[in-house]
Amino acid sequence: MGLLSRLSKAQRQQIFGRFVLSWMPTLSYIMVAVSFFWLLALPHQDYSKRTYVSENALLPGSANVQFNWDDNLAAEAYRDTVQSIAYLPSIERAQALEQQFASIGLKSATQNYTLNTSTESLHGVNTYAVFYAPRSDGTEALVLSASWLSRDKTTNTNAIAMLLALGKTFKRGSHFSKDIIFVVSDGEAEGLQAWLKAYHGNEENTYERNEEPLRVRSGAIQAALNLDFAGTGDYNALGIFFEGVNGQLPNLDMINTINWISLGIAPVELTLHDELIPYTENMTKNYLNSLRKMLYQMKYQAIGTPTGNHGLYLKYKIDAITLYGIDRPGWNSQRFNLFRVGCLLESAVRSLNNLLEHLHQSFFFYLLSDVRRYTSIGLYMPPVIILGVSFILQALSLWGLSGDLPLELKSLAEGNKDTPVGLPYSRRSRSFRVASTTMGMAIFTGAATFHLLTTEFGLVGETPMLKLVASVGVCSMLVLSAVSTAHVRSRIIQSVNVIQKSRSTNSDSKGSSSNNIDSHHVAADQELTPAADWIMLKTLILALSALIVTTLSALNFSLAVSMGILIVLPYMAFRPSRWTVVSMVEALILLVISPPGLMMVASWWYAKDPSDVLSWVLREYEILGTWLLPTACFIYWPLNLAAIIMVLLPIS
Amino acid sequence: MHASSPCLLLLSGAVLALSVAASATSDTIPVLKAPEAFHEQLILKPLNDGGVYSHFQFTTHIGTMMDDDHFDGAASNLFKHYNLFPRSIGQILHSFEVEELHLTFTQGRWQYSDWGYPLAPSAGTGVELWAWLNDDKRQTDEHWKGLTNTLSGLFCASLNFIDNTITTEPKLSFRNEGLYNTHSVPHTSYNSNSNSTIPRKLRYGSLPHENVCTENLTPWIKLLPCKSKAGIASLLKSHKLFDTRFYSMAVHVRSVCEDESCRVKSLELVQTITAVFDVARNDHSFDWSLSGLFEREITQSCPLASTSKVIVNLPQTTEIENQYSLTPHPVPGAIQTEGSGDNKQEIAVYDLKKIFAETTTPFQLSLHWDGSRPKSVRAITPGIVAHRYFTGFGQERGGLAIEIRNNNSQDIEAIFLDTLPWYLKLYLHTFSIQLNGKTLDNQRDLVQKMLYQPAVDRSRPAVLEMALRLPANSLVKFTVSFDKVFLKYTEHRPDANRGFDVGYAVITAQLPREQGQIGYGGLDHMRIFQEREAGLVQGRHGSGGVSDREKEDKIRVYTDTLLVSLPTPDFSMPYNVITMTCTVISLFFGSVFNLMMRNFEVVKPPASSKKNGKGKGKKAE
Repeated sequence: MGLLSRLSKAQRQQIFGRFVLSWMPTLSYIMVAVSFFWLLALPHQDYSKRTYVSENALLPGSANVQFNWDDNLAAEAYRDTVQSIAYLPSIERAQALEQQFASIGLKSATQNYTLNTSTESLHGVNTYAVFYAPRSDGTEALVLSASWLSRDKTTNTNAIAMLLALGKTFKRGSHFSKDIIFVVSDGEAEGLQAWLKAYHGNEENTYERNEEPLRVRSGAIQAALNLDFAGTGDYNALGIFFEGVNGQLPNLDMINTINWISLGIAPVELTLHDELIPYTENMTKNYLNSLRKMLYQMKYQAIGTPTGNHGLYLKYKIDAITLYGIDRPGWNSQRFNLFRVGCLLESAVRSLNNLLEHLHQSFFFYLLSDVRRYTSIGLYMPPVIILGVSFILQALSLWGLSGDLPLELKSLAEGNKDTPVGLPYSRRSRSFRVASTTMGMAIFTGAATFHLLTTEFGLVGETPMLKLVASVGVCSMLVLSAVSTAHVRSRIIQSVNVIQKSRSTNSDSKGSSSNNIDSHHVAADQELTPAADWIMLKTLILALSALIVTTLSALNFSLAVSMGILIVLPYMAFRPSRWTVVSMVEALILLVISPPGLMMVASWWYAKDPSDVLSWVLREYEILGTWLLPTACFIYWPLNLAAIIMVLLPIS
Repeated sequence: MHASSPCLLLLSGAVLALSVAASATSDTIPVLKAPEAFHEQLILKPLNDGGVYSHFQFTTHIGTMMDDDHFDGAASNLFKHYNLFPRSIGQILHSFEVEELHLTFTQGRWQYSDWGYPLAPSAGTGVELWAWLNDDKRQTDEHWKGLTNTLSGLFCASLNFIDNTITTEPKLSFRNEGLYNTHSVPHTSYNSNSNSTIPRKLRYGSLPHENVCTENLTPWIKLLPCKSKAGIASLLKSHKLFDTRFYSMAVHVRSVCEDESCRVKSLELVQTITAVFDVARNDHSFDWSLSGLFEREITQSCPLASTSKVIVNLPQTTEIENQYSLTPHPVPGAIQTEGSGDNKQEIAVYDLKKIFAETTTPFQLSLHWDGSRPKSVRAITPGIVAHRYFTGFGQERGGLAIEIRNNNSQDIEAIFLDTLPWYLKLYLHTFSIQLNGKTLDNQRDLVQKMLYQPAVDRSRPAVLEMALRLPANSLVKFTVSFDKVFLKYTEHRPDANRGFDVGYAVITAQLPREQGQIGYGGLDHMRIFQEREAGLVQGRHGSGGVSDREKEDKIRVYTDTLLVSLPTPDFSMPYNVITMTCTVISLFFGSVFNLMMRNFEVVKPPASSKKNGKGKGKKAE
């Protein structure tokens, strides 16, 4: 016999309904707790795994390194050259560098670019040079890049000198199967971005963007290393930056390769990002350190900003990382100079040169808790999915609540077996009109804010902050009008209901019920006023949140997690209260986690002016195309607005 | 009568066409100079970027033959008796009725903007094979297939992969190179095939990703009469040849005329090896010597060779004279000058036959720069440079951009040929032309003729051929968009994530001779030195109409090959897991779901079951 078919349909429905109502809210809270704890477990040593080189073709560190002391001397000479031209105007230093590359025997050229954002105008000149691998067909290439400006906002002297020295070293070799392109980009990210666009033939020639076409080209870029070695001194450790635009990650084998080389052929201390953490045996400390590293990664992924110029390559399906020289005087590790860096880079390039196919083994989705430990997608996805499910459960229970199940259960519990129960539909009407209108308005407001922020109107005194204030004003107007309308409406409905009720009792006493159902049910029917608007709105908010969190988790895990954690409890727990104070407190909390609120929190945390934070977000969007601003405007803020309206709605 | 004889099939077309011409100007009796001859030549040229260009050329002639009146019986033995001509090639030509054969193996890219044009006519990366086949019996396709497979075996290369999906038949490019074509027989008769009774068909195929190595060189050397035992071929040491920046070896077979009216013809086999050494690689010194380049020396000339020469294209210095010294210094009269003014090119000729007649010491040659580096040399500006690259990123769609720069101060007629594999779906409506950065609306001025063969999935490639008129000093850019096809998973190669190689585009153009380039006009030009010395052809260049042609050279410019990444399924673990899980779920879900949801009931005897409908459950009670 079929298991489910043993029960009658009505009974099944009853049991299901009972289960929903009694357990779902609790279950969803339990799931949130499970999800939180699971997330916290991710960096734990026993949960993550050790990294390993998955692509066998890489063979890191197996080739003998040719970089010798002569090359080191050459690098030091180039360092002086770079220093001497570093403060020239863009065009002059680019040409000087082009000369240097040409004298090595590489094909070199420069590229002009202009980028006009809504707030500023950026112009610069990139220099690039191509080493044509002897006897290769030139279908594949590797890129070594460095920008003039380092992370530390100082001149990237050593990195550029290193590029020149490596160019000289590679020119001696005849064992390369891929061309090697050296790019020295101007500005921060926009220079390399312009170069990459032109390399892929997408150069634009408009007022906003103008990128000069490239004169020298090579094949499809397989991988890239971005160098960030500021200053002219030695370094304590090597930091790896790997987070790209919108949380994209390079193949883990890129990091594994450097890792392997740093253990053998060119011993340096390796770490993630620019944080040096002393080794410890202490379990708790270890865990906290891992957690901190993981949070660091998740932060960058969530805001979508690349941690270095390598992030721009990822968009073009080029795996890339940034190697950053950490100079931390007093740190007790052996300091290393350009010679060691040269060996490491040459070995890394030789290793990537071995690739037969595009990097495809290993992982593209991972969280790193240490430079040698990773958590793969299979291990970190469950908590965020659980989080998404908890939203859904809550939404379902609310949906059930708005139906007429409580009544049916009640009658069932009374043991009145004779009454036919369990109609397959809800007799209580659910009106989505208010909910959908509110949501629509909220999304419209969000979209309007986005366009307001990203469009330049050419008005006097036009600043992003002013625009944001204006849109906040519009939003508060929306909230106020929606809430007040709803209140007025509910009053009217209530009064209408009172009238109707009195009428129906009149008609009931006359005994002229049209449906020929017994009087008890007619009375019950009359009690079922339409579900409250806030329930509908909250259901919609929760369902949308579930949709967004789960969908986003596949695209940008960190963004989904941080969004989910931020909204899960407020959205699930908050509801209009009988006491206005409680509602107001809820609204206030929601206001704090709204985009402007978070912006204020961030500006307070980093001790920056809020307008700086805003213009930074805008800049990141306009130059790099990060998703932070669109996500905030099109998704996060509308939900938040709707939630604020929801808690302020009349309770019945 | 001759056409029926299989040994003459190859050349009978020319013979028949010729008998007309012969009757007009048959006053001199053609002379059979040599039934078979072998010439060897090494041309060296220092390049401006520290490289040394070396070009080995071995030419074998066979079966000089005459028209009907002066028919020489020896000619009938053309493919029956071999002295110098390699039998393996002869048999291939004979059995597949090949009239003209060009096979080139190349590794590396020719840097046109640094090195000018190569002496060898082909420089496309990978393997290029094209042949004119006799289509008398309409068996061209079978013959082509046989030819590729046989050559594949002969040269240890994957030539057998040139199948229908790769083979094309260009309509404008890759015309016959036989000398009879350009010099003796009027153009029209061959282009229209009206005079020729034998239809011929062109087949062209290339493998861009074919690697070239010693296993291809060894069979190539075996074709030489002296192998690598004597003569300049003894320099061919694979260890050094494959440590160069560019390496190319070729076999060209064609028929040539030996006299002005082309009554005496011969079959010519030209074997070339082109290598660009990077002498400045290690110590940044531009000095070089033969023994340094090849790690071998010439101890004697090939005894079978009629001529044996080493030719050095002297570097053309500017401003400062006498920057270099060449040892041994060429004997007086051995320095010849080609061209004048800016186009002047001095050539030092060393005749090995003469040198080894006087001495037995190995031939040494070295060039030493004053201060190890040149101070000023004449820059090279090649007339036409082309680049081709993919635009866009991702695996769904892309674009192709071709840039052709004409550095000449006059308009140039050029033919552009591009072959694209069928898995790139070209959209011709997206084809646009930019002239010096501006989109051109009227394409007629530039593109005079356009032939396009659309691709057919899994059977033939797309071929785009255009007759262009490139304006003087201009940059012409073509762009066209395409979609990438999602291949069947069995059609992916073992290294699926590498992508697919897309071969080069070829631009054929007539360029005015200038700018101190290495070579011109491919095979025709290669004959210049040896003809002058060997006197095989007398006075051919003196005849009218030819002198104009002499100033122009037909060159072919090859673009780089490209790599395209198509949508690739993840062939690793997840793919297997997904496939397996889906199978398991689809198998089990049905039965489990069925078990869960089906209403099983005890069937009552028919009498009582009349009351209860079969499908109705407990609800009815």
